[in-house]
Amino acid sequence: MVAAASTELMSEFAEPSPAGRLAGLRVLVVEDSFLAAASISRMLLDLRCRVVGPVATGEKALVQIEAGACDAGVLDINLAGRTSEPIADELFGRGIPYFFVTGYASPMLLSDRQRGHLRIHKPIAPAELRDALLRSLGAT
Amino acid sequence: MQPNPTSIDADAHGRADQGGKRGGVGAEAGLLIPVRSERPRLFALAVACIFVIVGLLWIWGSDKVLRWLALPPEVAQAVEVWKGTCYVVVTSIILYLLIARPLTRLVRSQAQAAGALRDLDRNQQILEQAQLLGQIGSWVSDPAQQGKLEWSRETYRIFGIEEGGFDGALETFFSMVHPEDRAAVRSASMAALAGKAEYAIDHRIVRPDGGVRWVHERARVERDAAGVPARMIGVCQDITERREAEGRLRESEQRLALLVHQSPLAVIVWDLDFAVTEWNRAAEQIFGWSAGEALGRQADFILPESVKPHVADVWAALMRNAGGSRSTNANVTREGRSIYCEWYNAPLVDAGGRVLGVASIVDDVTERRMAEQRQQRMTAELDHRVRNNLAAVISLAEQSGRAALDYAEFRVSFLGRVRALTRLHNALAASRWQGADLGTMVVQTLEAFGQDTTSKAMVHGPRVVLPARAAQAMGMALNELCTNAIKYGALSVPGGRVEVRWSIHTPVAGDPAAQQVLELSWVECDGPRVAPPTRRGFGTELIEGAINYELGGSAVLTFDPQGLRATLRVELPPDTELDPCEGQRPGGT
Repeated sequence: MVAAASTELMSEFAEPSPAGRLAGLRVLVVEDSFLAAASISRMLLDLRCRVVGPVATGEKALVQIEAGACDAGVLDINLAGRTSEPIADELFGRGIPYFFVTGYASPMLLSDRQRGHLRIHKPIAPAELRDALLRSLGAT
Repeated sequence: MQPNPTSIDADAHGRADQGGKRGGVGAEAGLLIPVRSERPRLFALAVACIFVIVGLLWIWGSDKVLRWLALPPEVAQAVEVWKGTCYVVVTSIILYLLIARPLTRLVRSQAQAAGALRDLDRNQQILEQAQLLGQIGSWVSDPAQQGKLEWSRETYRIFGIEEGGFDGALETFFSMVHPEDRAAVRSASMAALAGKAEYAIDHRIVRPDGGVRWVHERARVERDAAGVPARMIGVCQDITERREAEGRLRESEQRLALLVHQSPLAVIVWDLDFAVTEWNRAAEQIFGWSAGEALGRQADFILPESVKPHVADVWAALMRNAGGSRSTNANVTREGRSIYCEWYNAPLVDAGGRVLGVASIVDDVTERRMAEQRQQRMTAELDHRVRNNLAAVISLAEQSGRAALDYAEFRVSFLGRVRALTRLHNALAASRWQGADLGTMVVQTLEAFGQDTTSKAMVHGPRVVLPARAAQAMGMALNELCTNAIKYGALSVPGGRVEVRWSIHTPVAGDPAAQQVLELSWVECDGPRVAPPTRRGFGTELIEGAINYELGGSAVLTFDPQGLRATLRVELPPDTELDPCEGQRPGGT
């Protein structure tokens, strides 16, 4: 199913090689769990992206964003009891594509503004991450 | 018209008398009959006198008249022969002219009297039936005769006495009144006679058989021109059944009122303007407004702005008699506290289907709702943790697999890490995720590698209960240190030893706001000679990831040839539970 969905997406973007589009993309990873961050980082490296971070806190993430170090963002919603919403707002304000990663099945913690935004659920598969990244890029 | 019943025939007379005894109704009717009683005798006398007078006149006067007329002898002889006949004819004519009309009138009036008597009899019967049906007796009291009473048949029946078995004396009557009511009846009748009040009283009577009945009495005092009471006419109604029914109704109403008053659920009744007309004790407790304050007020005073449109819809449905029977919505108390209530509403409808108001029963479900929300949050949290743990396990598998040289190494390192996760989960679940004791965590980590290991360890530090997140990170780091020591370090040889010590520091002395720092040192000695690693293993990555990345602390590994030394420093979250007295934990206990 995932494969079918991704094929569809590929045709939608009508690009010969979506992976080529991702190569060299600087992706900021904001994730408070080291293991999850390591997993996402590895997947991004496999997609030939450049990983910015990973960082575990909003403060560190904002430093990276302000330095203009990233082209996209992967945000865990719950960062040790706080939400990544301010980071999302910052990325949105700068027109940088991003999407959420969460362990929550239902939309919690987020305000109405971010609730409808693209979101994938843990545990995530490499194909899901790739598709979400492509979709968020396509949306901008 | 003058009351004069003597001219009525014997039968009618008797009936009229009887009627009079029963309360004067018959006597009253008798006064209406127009009969001149001496007429027949006078008529008879008049007729006799006329015959005598005319006869004598005829005997004495007829010869003289004939002589004076000097009639011829033939005519005089003929007259002599017809004189008797003429006498009869003339007398008859005179009599007719004198008595025909009065006689006719007399006969007619007799017939009228008979008809009136028949009507009287009929009215009497109707009255008696009416008294029987209405259980209303009547009585007349005559002040001129010490208040002597005359009772109707129904009055006798009500008092349970054979007709005629009452002597009419006022004192006899009072002896039949219930002793507790006697004074009241006496004073009521005195007041009525004195013209101070209407005589209307409910009192009990005691029948000869001992049965107690309730009667309702009303009476009117009739006075003469001088204002002196002429008679007192009253009615007496048996209301025993009604009183008993009223008593039962009152009792059931009291029971219902008690039920409403003591109900743990609020009972509120609204009128058509949505204003309070009933407000019980539970309503006072739930909403904080007393009945005195709530009565007459419109519902707005217990509604927060946000629910007003919803409540307006519910009210409209109730008014149409089309639902609205149940509503769960927010309310506000007198103190401004927000509560959640379950409302069961029913329109109060009359027999014609018109809505008269609304009755509501209200339950404060704030606690239940909060529990439900807690439950929802917990379920979501559980889901979150399971997903995160699965993500962690998958990540561990990936990273362990990448680092391992072969399957055997992968299997040992991966399963060891999953078991460490399981151990931490158990410890935290046992404390309901409040935290885990650091000393216990260290001991349990060592124990996981067998008795041999624990006997080689020295564990020393104060009691620190780490919050869940810090405990998980620290636990994973300890597992990596232990695994490494077993594989390559001091715990891989029989004589090796490990010392685990920790302490709490306040970086800025005297500043209570400064976060406290936990410093844990892991020191291995008497093990094989240590050489610095040729490549960075995943174990090191994991320790740094847990301590540096997740907790924002620092993990320093020193590969001293005498043995590995690790120093883990983390800032303790403000909610960490600390024990001021330091304890010592030798390994293996």
